[in-house]
Amino acid sequence: MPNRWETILSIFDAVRHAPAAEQRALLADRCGSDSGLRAEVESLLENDSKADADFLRPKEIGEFRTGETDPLIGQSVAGYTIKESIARGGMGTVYLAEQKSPRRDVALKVLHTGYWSAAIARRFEVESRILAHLRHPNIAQVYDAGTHRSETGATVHYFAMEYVPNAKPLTAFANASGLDQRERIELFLQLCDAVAYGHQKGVIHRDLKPANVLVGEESSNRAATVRERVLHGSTEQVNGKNPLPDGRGSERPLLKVIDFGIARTVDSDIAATTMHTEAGQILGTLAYMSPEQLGGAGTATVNAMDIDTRSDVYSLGVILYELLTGRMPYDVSNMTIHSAARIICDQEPTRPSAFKNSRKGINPACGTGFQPVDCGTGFQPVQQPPLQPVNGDLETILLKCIEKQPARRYQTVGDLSGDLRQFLRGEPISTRPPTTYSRLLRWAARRPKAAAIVMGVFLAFIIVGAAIVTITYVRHTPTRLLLTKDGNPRDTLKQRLTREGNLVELISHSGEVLRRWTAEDASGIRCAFMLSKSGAFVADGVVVIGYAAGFGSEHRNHLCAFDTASGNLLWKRTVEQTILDAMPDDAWPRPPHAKERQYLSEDFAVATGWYFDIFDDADHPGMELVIYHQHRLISQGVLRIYDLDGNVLYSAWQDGGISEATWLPNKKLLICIAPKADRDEVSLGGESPSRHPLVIFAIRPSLNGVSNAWIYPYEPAWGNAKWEKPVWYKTICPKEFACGWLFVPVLKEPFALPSQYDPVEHIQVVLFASPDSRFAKVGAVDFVINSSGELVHRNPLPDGARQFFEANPEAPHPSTIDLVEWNTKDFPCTQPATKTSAVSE
Amino acid sequence: MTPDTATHAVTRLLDAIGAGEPDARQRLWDVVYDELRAMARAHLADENRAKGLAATTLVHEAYLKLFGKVEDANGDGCATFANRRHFFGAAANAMRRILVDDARHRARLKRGGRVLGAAAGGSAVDEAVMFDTDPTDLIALEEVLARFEAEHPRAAEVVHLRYFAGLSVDQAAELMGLAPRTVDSEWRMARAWLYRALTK
Repeated sequence: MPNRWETILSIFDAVRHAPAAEQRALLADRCGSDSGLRAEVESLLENDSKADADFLRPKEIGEFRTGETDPLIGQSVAGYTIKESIARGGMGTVYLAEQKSPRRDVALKVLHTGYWSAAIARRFEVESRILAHLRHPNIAQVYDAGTHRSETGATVHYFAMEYVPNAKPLTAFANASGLDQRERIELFLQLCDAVAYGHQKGVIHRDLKPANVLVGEESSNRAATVRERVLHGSTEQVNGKNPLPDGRGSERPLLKVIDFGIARTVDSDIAATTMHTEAGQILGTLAYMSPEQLGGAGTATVNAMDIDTRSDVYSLGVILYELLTGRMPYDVSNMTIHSAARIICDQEPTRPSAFKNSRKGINPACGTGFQPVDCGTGFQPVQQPPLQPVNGDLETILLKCIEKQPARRYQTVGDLSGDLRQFLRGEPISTRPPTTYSRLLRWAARRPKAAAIVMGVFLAFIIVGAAIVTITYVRHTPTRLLLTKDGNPRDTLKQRLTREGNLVELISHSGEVLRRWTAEDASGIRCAFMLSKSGAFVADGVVVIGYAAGFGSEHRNHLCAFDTASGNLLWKRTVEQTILDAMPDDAWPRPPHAKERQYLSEDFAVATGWYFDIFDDADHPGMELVIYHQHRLISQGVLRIYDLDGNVLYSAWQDGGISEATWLPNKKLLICIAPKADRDEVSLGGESPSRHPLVIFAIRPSLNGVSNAWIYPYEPAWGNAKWEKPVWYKTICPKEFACGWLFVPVLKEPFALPSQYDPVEHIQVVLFASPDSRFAKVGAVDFVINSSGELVHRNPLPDGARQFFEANPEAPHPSTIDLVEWNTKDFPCTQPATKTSAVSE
Repeated sequence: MTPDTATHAVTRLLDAIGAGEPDARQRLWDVVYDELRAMARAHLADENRAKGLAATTLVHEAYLKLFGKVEDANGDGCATFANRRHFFGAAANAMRRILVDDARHRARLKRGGRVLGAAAGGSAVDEAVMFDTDPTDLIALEEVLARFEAEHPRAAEVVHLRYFAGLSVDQAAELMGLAPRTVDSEWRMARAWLYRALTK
């Protein structure tokens, strides 16, 4: 039955996890009437409980057979009587032994024969001599080393070392004694001194870990220790200042480093040390090993040459880290050896400041290595204050010790202890914390692939981000205004020529309509511009709309400015009633109705508008608006120049309405073209309502020119009207023109000035004329004037006009109509000879 | 075989398994077996004193030895998920074989072979007793395990990884692509099953 096992498994599992009282009921329920199934599950459950914990426990090699005792206990080896076993390590077993002469207790380390070879034996001999010369109060001295051949023929290789009674591993001692941060650092400085001394003698420890740093009572042969100190002149008198100043002086802890240099003596390949240790010890040892010892950090293979005193600095750093934070820089618990090694080689250590001062997770330091007999358990821990947080300089010191590249660590143990002493004294340390940037660079050097990926992702983000920004910009940034006729995207010819409509659309780069303004009337909007006050970027700009809309429109007849971004109204302007009221009675030349004084502000609509950079001084950077406000029923109106904040910079009356205007910046001339409708026209050629000639004039606006005077070829003859004298003033008349023709003058755009004319000096004027005002038939004339208003060129057939009509195929070609003849007549811009005669004629 | 050549051999073999070569599994097993056996012998040179080295530690050490340097050189390329599963599968099988061979060896000794004292030097290592279990237990286990394996291959793989390769429930679950709870259930039931078979 394919699913039998699964079925049994699920019931077995469910019952096993159920509370004991419910198991029978659950079993009966799940098995139902299948008695075979039930019997099977019951049988398995029964056997599950019968099988003890040792059943199928992973097997161990070479376990002691039950009841067997160590054959060496009680034996005499090379003059040492072995009393008891203290600890068992990967390389050998440590016994407490008694030396006969001198009579003292020693720690006798007996090496496993598996570590033995002829080559090791030779080195063992050399090294043991060196080690015997290591004499430092904080180094458990190696008294003797040798090979002993017992009577039975068994060979025993041993080290006899100083015995530290009641010793505890460093961290266990610190925790059990409740040392505070300062005391821990002071204790650690003893360790530094010992290691520095060893380095000075050319011996690298190679296996520094708390289990190899024992702290116990003063050695029994204290006098000898003191003598040693005097003899070797231990430079920094660590013990000169009592590490435990609070009256515990009599129990002053004495730190002893054991196994100094032994790793090197025994193992040519340091990796073997990792390999051949106890199962539980591997990770414990690994955690203190430097990346170069693990063969990582860029070194492809473990090379004994890579290991130097700086490897010990690393291990010291890890020990100090653990001592001060209660944690390890890398969490390698529950990991395979290999992943642990990778983490140590590749990951950044946890910053000590990341730990809040808690004691959780403190390593039980007596779990590894050579275990002293009394490993913490028999020692009642005193009150354990929380560890002080590690940050600032202390963190910098810790992190510098455990840098992955030896070159970035303290180069000597002395440098490390120097900084620690500076720290204890509250003085600045020699090391600066690594910057985020340098840490990043180092990480990239260590993990080029990962760095490339991160860089790639980063670049991708930038590209995507840029794309989003661009798309957003293209979609949402206003770029132009479109003035159209509502609902008809294709303007009629007349609209194109007259630029009027009733719908303004603000359009983005991608052509999306961002905002709309409408007017009620069919031709309610006469001009619309999008301008920027800074002159640079439209996003900070204003949309200016000139309304001529009829009643009911909110902005009727006003010039309005809106914020481009928000669409909010910034300001609105029209001709002020005060100016109208101040007008002389006879200033209005042809009262259309009896109510000649009934000129109202609201009757003046915006007729046309342009923008030029007229005033380009510091106070008026950017564009100015040229707006013609015209009375809705008669021909008079006001030509005004506004800045973009709506201030009136120039204001003058004009009779007839301005059809076109342009600006010659070099000459500072504003050129206007307008139907001529002033009342003196009668005297000059017989004005008729249906026969308006055109005038072209030039003015030079000034900032102090808010005069509200009349722009006139000569001083007005009526009342006390003021006179704004134009620079020049010309009249252009067709020789013959039909009543009702509508003239639409277009200056320059969209036509190109013939190349022989300097655009700074010359203006191209194109006039369209239609006899029926619906532009079913169109005629045109095309000529060039200079800045003095002289006619310098006339095209027999208007090239510019032809271009226009070719671009607008729905319009009739201008060649279908004969061109009209034009006369020009100069105005001297002076007072006419007989002011009154003109009126009387 | 030096570690380097062994490493390259393993790399090639894992590639070959990935490519579906029929003999590759057996050859991987051979390499791993040799390696584990050599390491066990090194540890057992001093049989009486090399206490506490779990057989399963050997498997992990072999992994480190065979994969470590390759990964250092090639990044994560070698220890892919599939490769790890192949490796631990092979290693568990190799360990099983070593244990059983050892048990049979000891059983022979018990039936009249010479009793070894403390090994001196490396000469007698090949004949050293490796594992301190009752050899009859292991030989009996081998018989029932063979039966169990035929019936319940997946549960048997759990037993292999847990018992012979020494993986934790979580590690085995990750390798097998199963939920830890499933692996734990399989393990407990397999134990019960085997215990029953052995004590019947």
